[in-house]
Amino acid sequence: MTHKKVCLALFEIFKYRARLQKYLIIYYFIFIPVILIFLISQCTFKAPKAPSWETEVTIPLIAKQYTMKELAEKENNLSIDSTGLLEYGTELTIPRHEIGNRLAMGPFSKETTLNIRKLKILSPGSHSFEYKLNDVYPQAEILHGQTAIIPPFDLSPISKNYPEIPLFHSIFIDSGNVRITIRNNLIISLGVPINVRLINLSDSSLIGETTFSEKITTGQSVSRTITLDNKTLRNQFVVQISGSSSGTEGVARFIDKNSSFTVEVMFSDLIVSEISTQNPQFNYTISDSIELTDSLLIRDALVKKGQIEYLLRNDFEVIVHVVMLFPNIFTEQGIALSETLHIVPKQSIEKTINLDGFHFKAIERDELDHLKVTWTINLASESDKIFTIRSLDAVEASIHLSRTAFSYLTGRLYRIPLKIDPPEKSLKIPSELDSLKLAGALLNLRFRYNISFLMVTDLTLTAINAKGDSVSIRLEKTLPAAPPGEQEKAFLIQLDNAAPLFNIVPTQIKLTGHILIGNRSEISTISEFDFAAGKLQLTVPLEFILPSQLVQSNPRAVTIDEDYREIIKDHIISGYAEVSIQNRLPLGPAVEILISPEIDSVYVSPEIRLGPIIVSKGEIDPTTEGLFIPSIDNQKL
Amino acid sequence: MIGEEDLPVFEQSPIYVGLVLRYPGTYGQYVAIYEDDFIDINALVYLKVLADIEK
Repeated sequence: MTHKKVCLALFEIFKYRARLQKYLIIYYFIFIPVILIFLISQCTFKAPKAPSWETEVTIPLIAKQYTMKELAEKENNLSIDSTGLLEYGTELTIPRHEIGNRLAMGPFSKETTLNIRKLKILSPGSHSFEYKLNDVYPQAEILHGQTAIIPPFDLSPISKNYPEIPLFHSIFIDSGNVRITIRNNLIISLGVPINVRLINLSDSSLIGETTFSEKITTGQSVSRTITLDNKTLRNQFVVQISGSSSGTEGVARFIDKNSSFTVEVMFSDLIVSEISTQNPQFNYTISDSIELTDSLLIRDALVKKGQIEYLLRNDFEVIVHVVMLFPNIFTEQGIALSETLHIVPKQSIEKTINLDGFHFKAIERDELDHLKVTWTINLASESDKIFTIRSLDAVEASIHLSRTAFSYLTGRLYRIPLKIDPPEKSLKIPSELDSLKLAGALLNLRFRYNISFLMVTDLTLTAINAKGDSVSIRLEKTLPAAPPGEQEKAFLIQLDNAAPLFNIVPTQIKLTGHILIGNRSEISTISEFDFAAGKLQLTVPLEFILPSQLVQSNPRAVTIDEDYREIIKDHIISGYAEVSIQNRLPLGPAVEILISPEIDSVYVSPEIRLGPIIVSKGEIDPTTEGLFIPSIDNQKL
Repeated sequence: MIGEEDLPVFEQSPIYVGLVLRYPGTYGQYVAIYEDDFIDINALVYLKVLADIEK
């Protein structure tokens, strides 16, 4: 027989004892006491005591110990540090991020007008004309071999053809000059004046003239310069002299009709703006460059992917042969990239050069800040037609260097961003930690990388809570360069002020931003396979300022046996509760126990409210200096 | 306290028991929690009942 059945039987016996007593007096005085003594230690009912016949029904309401250790074991993110202090921890993994296509520059474009600008003509040369005495003074034929006085006389204009110039048919001169030198080997003086004129033969247009306004005596040599700026010079022209002579100036001289003076015509090099020629043979070279304004300064780099697109248009009237040379771009064999093109007049050529596998190299400077391109233009005609070439005629060139990615690079980098794919994590902060203001939270950011450039983290760690509030911490720290060739370097960034992230009780944390590679000060090498990875660990010691707050447990159902309820219903007299609380937490709560027959109304409109019981906080144990001795509060309510 | 008027609650089953802890806060002071820290709450209700000897 169970205790319960025994008790119920006993109760029935008590209930009907009045009726039994007149028949069972012996039973009343002997049997009952024996039974009572026998059962009193086993039944949860206290044996009724005369004269009241009362007993007690005990209902356990709560028997619960909340230990922090249990809490730690239940929560994945809670652990216990070496001092026994509870701490909350979580971590974010930053996956391996390879450099990949981030070693890239461009795109860059350049448009150039490849005109001759200064069309330089080598000097058409020089020629010396000889004028005999009888050319300018016909009486010398008669006086030849005699000693006589020659009176002053005028020189009639005498024209002599300059030898035909083979270089051109005509030119329009931007700048240049011709030097006229007269050497007088006559027995007479020349001048004053002597005029020298250069006249185009075909249209008699004046090319230039000069006047010697001083007397040119026997044996004297005098020069003058004629400026040819903005003059047209044809391939056939005449040199004309005129003026006067003062003769022998009253002195009898031996007359030699073959004696002479010379006029030398000597051209300088000419800069022309226009040339008409049957056989244009002009080469000109123009050096140009494309400015590489980027975060990469290359000393040597291997192109992984890239191309040059160009468009050339020939505005000349003749065929042009173009050699386009990129002295900073080399093939695997070390040959500079060049293209040779033939472009017919007024036509265009458009082409693409694939740069994959080419090298970019700095050749004159330490680093490549400009991509040089040298154009050699060769003009050539394939007929006897006369062509006119103007200095403003041009090959119009347009070059586009696409965004170019490199497999590896030696040089300088400036803050090349390695974007971190934002790792994020959902958090479940234990509800017991709600409303805390944490004293400190430790952030460990362990990086692994083999990038041999100095780096700076430009990262933001953001915590977001269920209400949408967020708190961010900037992580701007320097990561030293990994030694070149080293497989992996580890570096730890520590922050001890991450508590604000947790004070909002976050449900999510995420890390966003970049690692910026290079600071332009160092030269090193980087490859597309170089990488950075890391792990962010957050540890929060549970040392906190706690605001006043309310904690409610989930209502607990207490089942009362149906038989007990019958007894309670019919025979209850009174009731009381005993509450015993041991507390080793460093703060003492006020405890209330609420009872209701409906689960929904436990906290809204409880039928019974026990308490509040003011619980003492745990006392600091002087022997351990930190741990608490539990307080014990017992109350009868 | 359990008054006379509260007693009928115990004639029903189940009854629901809720626990409210009001922490006063630490008034700006930092406190630490250790693994051994706990709060242990025990509550029992005792009901006095009487046999009906008149019946």
